[in-house]
Amino acid sequence: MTSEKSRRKVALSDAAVGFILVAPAIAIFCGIILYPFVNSVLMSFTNRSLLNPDFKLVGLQNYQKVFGDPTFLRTLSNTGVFVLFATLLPFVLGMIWAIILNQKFRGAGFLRGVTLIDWIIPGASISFLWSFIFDANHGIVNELLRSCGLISQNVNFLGQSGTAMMVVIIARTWQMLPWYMAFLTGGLQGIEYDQLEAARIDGANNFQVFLKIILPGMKSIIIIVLVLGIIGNLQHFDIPKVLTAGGPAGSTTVFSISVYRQAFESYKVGIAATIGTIWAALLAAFSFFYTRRAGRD
Amino acid sequence: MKAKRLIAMALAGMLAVSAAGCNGGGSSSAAGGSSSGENKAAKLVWAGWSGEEESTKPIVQEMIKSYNDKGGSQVTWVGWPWADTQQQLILRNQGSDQLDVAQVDIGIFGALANAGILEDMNELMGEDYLKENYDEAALKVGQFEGKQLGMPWSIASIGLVYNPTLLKSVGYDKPPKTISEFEDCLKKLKEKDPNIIPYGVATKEATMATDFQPWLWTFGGKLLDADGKVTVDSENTVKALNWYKSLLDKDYIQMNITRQDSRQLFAQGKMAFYDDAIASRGVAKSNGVAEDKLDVTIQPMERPVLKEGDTPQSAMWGHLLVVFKKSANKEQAVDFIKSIVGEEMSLKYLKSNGMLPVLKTALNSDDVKSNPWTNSWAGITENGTTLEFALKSNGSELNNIVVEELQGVLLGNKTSEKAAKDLSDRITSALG
Amino acid sequence: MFQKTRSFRAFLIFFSIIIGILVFFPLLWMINTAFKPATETFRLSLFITNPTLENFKSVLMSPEILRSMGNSLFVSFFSCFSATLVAMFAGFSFSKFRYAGRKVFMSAVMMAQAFPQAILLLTLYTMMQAMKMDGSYIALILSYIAFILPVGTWTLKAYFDQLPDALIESAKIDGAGWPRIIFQIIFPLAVPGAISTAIYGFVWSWNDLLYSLTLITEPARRTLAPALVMKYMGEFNNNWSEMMAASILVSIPVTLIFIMLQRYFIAGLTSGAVKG
Repeated sequence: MTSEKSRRKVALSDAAVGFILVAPAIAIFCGIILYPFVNSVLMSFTNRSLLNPDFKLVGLQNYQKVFGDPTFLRTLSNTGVFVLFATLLPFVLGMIWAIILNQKFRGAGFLRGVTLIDWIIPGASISFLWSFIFDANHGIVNELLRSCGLISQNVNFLGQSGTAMMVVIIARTWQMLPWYMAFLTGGLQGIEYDQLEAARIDGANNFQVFLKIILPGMKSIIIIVLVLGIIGNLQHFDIPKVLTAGGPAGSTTVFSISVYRQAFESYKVGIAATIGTIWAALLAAFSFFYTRRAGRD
Repeated sequence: MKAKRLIAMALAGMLAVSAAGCNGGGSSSAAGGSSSGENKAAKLVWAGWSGEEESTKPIVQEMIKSYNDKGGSQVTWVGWPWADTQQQLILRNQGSDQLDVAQVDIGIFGALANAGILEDMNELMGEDYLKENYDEAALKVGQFEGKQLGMPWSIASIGLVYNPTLLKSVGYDKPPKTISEFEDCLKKLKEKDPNIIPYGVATKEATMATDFQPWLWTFGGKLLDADGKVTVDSENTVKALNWYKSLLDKDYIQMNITRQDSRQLFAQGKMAFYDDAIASRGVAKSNGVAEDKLDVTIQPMERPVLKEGDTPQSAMWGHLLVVFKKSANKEQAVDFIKSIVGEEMSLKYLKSNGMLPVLKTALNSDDVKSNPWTNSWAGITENGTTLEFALKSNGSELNNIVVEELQGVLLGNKTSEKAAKDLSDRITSALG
Repeated sequence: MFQKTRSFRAFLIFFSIIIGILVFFPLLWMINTAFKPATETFRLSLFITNPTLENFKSVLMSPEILRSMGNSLFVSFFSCFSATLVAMFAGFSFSKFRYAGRKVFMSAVMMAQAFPQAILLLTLYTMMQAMKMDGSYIALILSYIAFILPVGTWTLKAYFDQLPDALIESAKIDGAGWPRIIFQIIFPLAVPGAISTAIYGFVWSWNDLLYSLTLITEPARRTLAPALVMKYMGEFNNNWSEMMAASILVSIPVTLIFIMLQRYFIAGLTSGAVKG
């Protein structure tokens, strides 16, 4: 009896089971991502506007407009700077914090939980909080810098190009540090003790252990967290919008703000779709590369 | 594991509970009006933002309630944050949700008018009727290509307000009349108290473009000419840009100031001048200025002019009411609108929030004439000019260009001459 | 894991202070602002001159905030639970099965977050209208699931990758059917990954502003993020101090849940992690 049953079970091929398991995810993907995506790419070749139901094909005109726009390069570099620092900073700080809170002491778990609060506070509130901290007239940062004698006059952090981006990055880092910390904690705790023991016996010090055992052991988690962090920062839009409104002088205008403005403020959906397609193409190349690396098995 | 089962049960429970609730509110395209004709009363949807904001919520609710109580059509309110209303209206108009009347402000009006989704009030209410009963300048604001696409609800200019107490403390019993007097006043204010911001002109977000234009006009510059040609690249523009920069260099204005920031700082006595409209008195009050101190804290003034004898400039501002072409209840919608802008309601609105009526008889009433605050604003509004990008469909994009270039000059990223040229290039490209 | 050398201790102390201040000080500042009357928001003072409970009272008495919080809790729980389930199935499928198109599916799911969400929203909105589903939570929840899937699937795939195939083989030999293998043997071992995914999914849904603002228009069904903006960032005024009070209040229940789940996270990891 058992052999008959198992024969029947085996008859439902593994591949088929695999398909069934992945079906819901693929269905949702097609409906929510694929169809709108294809629709949007098609839209990028039209002059579609939300204000007008009629539209016509304009070929590559939108792409010409976007690449030819004098602010395109600036937006590209702003996006690059933001994504780079807003990913690396919380990653490094999150890693250190994960290490610190991984030390076995009472309240470590509690502190980890409290850290997560930074992540759940609504984006608009975070923006306000940090704009207040860096405020030109009443901000605590200015107060501290003045009382330490480092500056003689208040700095208008949000009113100047370079420092505005700095504040945006800091705010985003503050928001995402808990997320990196959480994932990296998981990675840390998954390190096998045997390997650690062996390295210690061989006389490795903390730094060497970290570099040669811990980091490689966390490799897949690190890759995932960095890639997803980068993609998340590319999408991210709440903080640059509320904190600095993309300014001053467009210095914090990143791709996501650009797309939003075209779609929801100018209603030029065709152009917005164009920016989006360019962005997606860049990302697809990047993601694909990593999918092949990380999904080697 | 146990946890998952617990969670699963909890969710099943929540699902059951909300399934009951969900069906009730399932599709929000509920209750269309009773279609046309015989049955006059209908269910109307009024959309906007004032019904959500603390300071205007009560009066909006009162307007709706008193209309509903009359027993005819019934009005329900749908609202969003002010900054999102434009996009929500456009999306909602395309969808199946009911939409009859909407509140828009001058900034939003342009995009909607261009999209051709608004009904002509001249057809609905009669052009003659409108001309007879409502203020002409106000009506003009809602006109687009010869049609009355927006019914003015309350129209007044954005002017400058000043703090009489602060000005008196530096020897100005009357507000400055010319630009040189203005600068002198700013200088004295800064010398007396380095911690205040003398002039809180908006230097962030689209409002910056709103505040800049009247100054541009004061210097004789214009973004577009009467035919819509881009004329921003001119000597006068350069003068205006240089002047703005000089104000920043001397610390009379500050970067990163929004209108909301100015309102709060002004109410706290940390600012002497800023741009605002007739509602600013109510705003100052809600920001903590005591009723009996209002008169010495906030007063309107005409914008300083370049040379004596010039006309003081101001930008028209206000709220309009529109009816959508897709509404099935246009007649009833118009009836509701008439009640909102009618004498009773508009005078109540004046009292509670300081918003100027548009009905001629209301404008001539004692409430308006005898109130010095309201009267001054009526005077400032006489010389109001519509903002130059107001009726463009991509007004936001155009304003953004102005803001970016202006900020570029203020931050020293480019010269005023270059900025004027870039403005010209970018605006031309955006309009094309 | 680390030897408590002097330099390590120094490292610990130094960064504990710096990161501790970074992480916790702004929270204290938030609390500080929440206790200030609205008229004093801009007054710089570490020590509050006249602390007031007005802001908190106001929030607790405001039905919109409370109701929207309930809505958000519902939507977020539902989204994170469904997304985790779908991600577990997909992650398991990617990890332990081989079939044509598998690599394509993996790339597809991974790329789900790549395209600008503002653009997808436009098509989604019209799609939902055509299907008469606009205004219902279905559209919102499905969207959230779609955006949570990339992280979830990859996290869970990584967990499943660590499980030896031998586990499944021996279960099959014992005659177990797939449902039993999946639910009783495999999934319990991936609980930490599931919890991480659930947390990520929850916060994603909780914080979302753009989609919830556009897809849900009925005031009674509004979720938290739009409700906060709606109430506190208006045309005339931004009521920052009350907004801070509201932000604190609405974060409390979620924080408590996180602090509790914290323990699960660790327990799950130390018992369920790779063995041998």
